[in-house]
Amino acid sequence: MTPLDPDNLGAFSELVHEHQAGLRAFIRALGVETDWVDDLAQETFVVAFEKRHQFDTAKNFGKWLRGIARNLVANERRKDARRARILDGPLTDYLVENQNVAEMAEAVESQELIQAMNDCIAQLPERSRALLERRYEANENASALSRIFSLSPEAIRQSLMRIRAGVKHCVETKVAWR
Amino acid sequence: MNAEHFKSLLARVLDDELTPAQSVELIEWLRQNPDARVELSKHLVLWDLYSQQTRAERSATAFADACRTRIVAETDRLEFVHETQQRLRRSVKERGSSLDSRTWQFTEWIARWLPSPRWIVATALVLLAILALPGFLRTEGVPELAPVAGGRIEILRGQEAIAAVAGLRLQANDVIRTGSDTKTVIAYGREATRIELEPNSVLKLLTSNGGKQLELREGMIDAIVARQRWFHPMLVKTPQAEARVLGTRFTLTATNNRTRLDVSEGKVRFTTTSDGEAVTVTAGHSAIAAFNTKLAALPQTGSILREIWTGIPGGEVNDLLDHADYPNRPAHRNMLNTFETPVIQTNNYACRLIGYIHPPVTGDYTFWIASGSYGTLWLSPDEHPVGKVRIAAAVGGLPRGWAPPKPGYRYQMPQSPEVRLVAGRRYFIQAIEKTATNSSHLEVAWKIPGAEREIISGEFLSPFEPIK
Repeated sequence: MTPLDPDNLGAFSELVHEHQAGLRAFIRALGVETDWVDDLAQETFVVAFEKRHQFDTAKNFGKWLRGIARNLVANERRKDARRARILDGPLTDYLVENQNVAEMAEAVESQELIQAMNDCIAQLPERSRALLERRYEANENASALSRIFSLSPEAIRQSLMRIRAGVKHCVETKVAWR
Repeated sequence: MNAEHFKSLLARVLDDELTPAQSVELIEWLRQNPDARVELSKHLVLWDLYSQQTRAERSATAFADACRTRIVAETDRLEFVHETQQRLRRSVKERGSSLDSRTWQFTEWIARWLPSPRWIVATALVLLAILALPGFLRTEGVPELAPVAGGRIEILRGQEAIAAVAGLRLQANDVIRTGSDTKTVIAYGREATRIELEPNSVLKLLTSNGGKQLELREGMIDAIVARQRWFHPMLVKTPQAEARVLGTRFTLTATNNRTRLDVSEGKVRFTTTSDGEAVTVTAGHSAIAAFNTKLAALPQTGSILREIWTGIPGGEVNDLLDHADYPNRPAHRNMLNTFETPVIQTNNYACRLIGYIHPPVTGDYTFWIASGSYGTLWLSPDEHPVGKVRIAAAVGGLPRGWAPPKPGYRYQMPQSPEVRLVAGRRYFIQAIEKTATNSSHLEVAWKIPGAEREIISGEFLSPFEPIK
């Protein structure tokens, strides 16, 4: 490995900016817990930087990153269950082995999805938007939201799921995500 | 299972609340329904992208910053390992060729002139005996009460209360109790030893001559102890610990659930009563004996280091991190006794608060940051800066004291996830604020388990010192 120089890291930082959103979403789709997604994505970029001389520039950088991430997530299964950063062992096994997770991540540009999603969320009724914002922006779970919105946790889960399904359907009408 | 049940399990996955039993059901359903598999993947991708957009600590900038920090740290570590391996190889090679014939001749010449080992041992034993003799002698000095300052002091001798007057000779088993506005000093004859008993304290003398033995039942003593005889150290017992002192200056504070030792000169051996675990506390360090607290000698708390850079354009933290003067050439350094800076009006200004956090109890902590402009907060899982991760960010600034947002202001949560910290350990922490124009301030608060949010007080902070 060549010594690190600022130019090298600068160029790599641009790649981080370009690929971070899609890579994080991909790692989440492998069944990694939300709070650990960024940690594993950072590890992926650290490994990629260390091995950058092994990368064939003619190939797809995003795909190479996803390969590294897939290995890191698979390694989580070897850890003690309490230390693993995944949602559930067997589910992660299933998602890591399942090819359609990769297909989902490669099918469409993250920026295109974000744009479509923002448009769809802007069309939601005020209360639905507020519920989404509290769930994601404030990172509050169903129990906390149930106190704020005076609903049972199960009713909150159902409402959120209806909103999510509506937004997903709306996004699919705006981008070719099949 | 039906499509409706699948949706409820999907909601559980998206909220990180899936149980193992639900996972089994879900996998079975996914195997049988390729469409469900696609739906699950799409939802996970979509809602993670949304979370990245909305949670300040997950923003693209925050992520890229953390990534850069980790890459630089990892590269430094690899270079260090590489250099060390090379040095070791060089040193092994050099040693192989260095024992030439001249070295051997010199070694043999020395060996010829040295006396036999028997003589060396005998001489050493005689010297040791002479040097050790003072150690067996008793420490001089009988405890006396110095003038009393403030209100009343109670002295119990057996069942009898006696008057606390200056010059009173204290006896074994005397119990001295100071009031809320009273303090007193115990002096030991011609010895320079002085023990100041602070207000609201109770101290019992276990011996009155020879080695000094005291029991601090509650409150605080501030002690200057002259050099004691080796085999008669001064001993101070508390409900949780024992401090063994040969000659030093220290403060000992005992409450009903913990004892804290702060050493300002010399060293003190500090032993917990519950399990006999011991640690030597040297000058500038402190230790705490309490339930559920790891015993360790740590640098004294009370302040955190502030570093200021001026004349650096830009309003984002990266503008400081990328500057040639960062981190080694700040324009100004000083200590703060709480994790907050005053509000100032300034331009092209950056500030870093860097040090260690000392959690008082083991548990899950949440942190908050507020700043005049862009601010970020990093915490390490241990005392080493290398492992630090960004845990919260105030993107575009947040009002001092986390005042409620004004109408139309987009509310960002400058809040960390819950972080588990262990009492008795210290953790590296740093907060950075970068301001282009106008007001600058930086505050970090935490929520100690079972308490309310508060700005982190100096009591739980110590300034950064590079670990050797």
